[in-house]
Amino acid sequence: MIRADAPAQRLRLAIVGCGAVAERYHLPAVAASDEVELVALVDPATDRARGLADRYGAEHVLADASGLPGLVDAAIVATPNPLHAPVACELLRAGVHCLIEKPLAATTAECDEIAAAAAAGGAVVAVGHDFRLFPVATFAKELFAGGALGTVEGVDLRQSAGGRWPYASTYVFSKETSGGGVLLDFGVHMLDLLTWWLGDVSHVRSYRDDAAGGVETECELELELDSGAPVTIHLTRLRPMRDTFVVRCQRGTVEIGIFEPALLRLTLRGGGTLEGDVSDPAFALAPLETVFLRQLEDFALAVRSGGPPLVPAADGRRAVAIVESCYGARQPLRHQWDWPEAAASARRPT
Amino acid sequence: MGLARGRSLGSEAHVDVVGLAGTRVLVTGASGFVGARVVERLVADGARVRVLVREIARAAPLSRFPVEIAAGDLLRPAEVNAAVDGSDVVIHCAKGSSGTRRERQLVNLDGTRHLLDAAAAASVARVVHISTVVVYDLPAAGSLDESALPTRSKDAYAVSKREGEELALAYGRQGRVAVTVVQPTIVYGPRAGVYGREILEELRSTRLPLVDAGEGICNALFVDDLVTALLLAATSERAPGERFLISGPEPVTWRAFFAAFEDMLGVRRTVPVSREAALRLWRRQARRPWLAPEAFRALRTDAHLRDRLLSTREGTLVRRAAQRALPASFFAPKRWEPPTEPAGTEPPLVALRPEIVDFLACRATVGSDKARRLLGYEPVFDLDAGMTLTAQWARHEGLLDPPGTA
Repeated sequence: MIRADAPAQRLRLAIVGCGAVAERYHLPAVAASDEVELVALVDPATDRARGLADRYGAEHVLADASGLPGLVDAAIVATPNPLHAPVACELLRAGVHCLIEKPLAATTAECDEIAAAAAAGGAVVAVGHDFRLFPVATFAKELFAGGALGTVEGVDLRQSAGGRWPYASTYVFSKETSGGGVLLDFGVHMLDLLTWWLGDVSHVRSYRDDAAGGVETECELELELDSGAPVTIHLTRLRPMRDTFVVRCQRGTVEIGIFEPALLRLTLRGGGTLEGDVSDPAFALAPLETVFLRQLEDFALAVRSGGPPLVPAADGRRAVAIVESCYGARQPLRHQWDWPEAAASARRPT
Repeated sequence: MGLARGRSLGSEAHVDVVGLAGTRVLVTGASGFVGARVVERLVADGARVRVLVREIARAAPLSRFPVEIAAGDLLRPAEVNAAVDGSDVVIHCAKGSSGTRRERQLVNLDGTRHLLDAAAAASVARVVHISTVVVYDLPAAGSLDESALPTRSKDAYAVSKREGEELALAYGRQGRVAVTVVQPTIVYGPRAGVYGREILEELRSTRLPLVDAGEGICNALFVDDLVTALLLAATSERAPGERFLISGPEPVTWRAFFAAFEDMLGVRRTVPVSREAALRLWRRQARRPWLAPEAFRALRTDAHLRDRLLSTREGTLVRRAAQRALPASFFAPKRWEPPTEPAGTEPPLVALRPEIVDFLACRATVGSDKARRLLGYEPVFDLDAGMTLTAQWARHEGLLDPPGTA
């Protein structure tokens, strides 16, 4: 794309993986940003990539990422999860900066490979934990950092996931192609917020999920923070939930809904409740567009300044490590109405 | 293909009656209530399952099972062919039960035709086509079996389902592919929509007329009994070319059926009414009023408004003119009519469509004698057992929480 007004120092950018998140969010963010110039789209489904390239004015369409070094300065890696590490490592070693979609990788071993490749190539890694950029989440970070509510005594999260996500393929529903289910694919968002706000998780007390030969669609986690505070998390793709964090603290309780509902409800221990939303006009107008644009500009700033991005690789690894511990401690989550359990309720008619 | 009769697990409960282990099965409508339960059961039985879904996001609940997800639309033959290719058995649960008349017809008839063509081309060993009891002309009482006449209803769903099963059986008669038609009654159970979630949601916010005081017969069928019948239809040597009505172990009244949901919620929200009263309620609610009768009704019921309007200059003239023009009987006190809805803060009484009213008043029992005889079908979930499981699911789903809690 050639623009007369384009500043010389724009980052030349590629997007690797042209699924739903690239089409809906990364491409509009790239088009809206003055920091980057879209040069290439990469996807084995080259027809799909070509269609998007035509719409967004990308010069190159490639079937794989091996041709990117030399062509671009930076790449957004939005492939299926198990491909994050192989794709990103090759780019990073060649000095191409990477904004890698969440989860950073499917395993911590792969996260370590990514960090090593980044160090070897002198390239920046930022992780696409975009939930941090939701205004309520940013506000909560400051709230907890300031310690206004005292020590954290416990956390309870009930969250439904992805009911309306515009999936462009079925990869996310297969163990081989996604590496995990609702915990890995969506739960990492929540684990990242939890640890960003309140510090790392010391251990997994228990983990149950409903995978029955496939990937989990519902799971229940009991964790403990480094501070000793217990954390309960229920995630599901199957049904509506409260969709908020409830954080009990020494001096009060705060309930936080990141998005739909975007909510902050503060109840002081001595009585009194304050409820509202965090004001952000740009976000109110176009929530996800705003979040992805801010994420991209944070990445571009980190590349230009050499400073750390909002979500460095170590933070991406931290969320994956919790997921890995959970999968390691897995117990089945079964219900009486599951099959074959339901058969036990059958009676002979009289 | 591997349709050998497998070992009968848990024969005590008569639920694991067929062996589909290793068989490649395509399920359409797999994101729906019955289809998803078929998938769960097939996976537990060791079948290799592929599902055809139109909307990828709706396949999410199936991803906990090792299933192959084929994204595609029954209305696009190329996508149907790709999904059917390599299957031994097709269980056709997809149905057009919403949308316009044309849309329902498209899915139930054209979609079924595409599937049958694909199955014939791919030499599929058996297609199980799920139809419905409403393809028959339901008698007001007595019993119904497969010899009953086709429905005379003009309802798009009933008509297109009847046409769809006729089409499927015709493919069988022509020797193009072996087809079995299964006609379930009122299917309920965990994750049921119409006879589950929707009833609970209505009972939470409204009251439901119990037509004919709930004396009508609900031929309730727990979903797992239906799935057993479908698997038998997929494997039995005596199934091809036949239609099978499938119903539960015992007929129950609609009163008992709705009471089970009321018990889950701990409320009484059904109101016994006669069939005639239910139809009257519909007529009253369905009619869009004219301005004049509405204004007249307002004047009649609101004395304050009436006095104010009639005391105006024009009002006085109108009253005098009316007294001259209309017979004296018009001004006689109105005969008292009992209110149809009790006063107070009771939730509103839902008006049921006339077809539904008649359906609920119907006292015909549907047996499964043919399926018992030819397939060895034996339903084992009575209303208590089925509703206990349904309640456990509903509680987990938050459907029994008091409104406003989460």
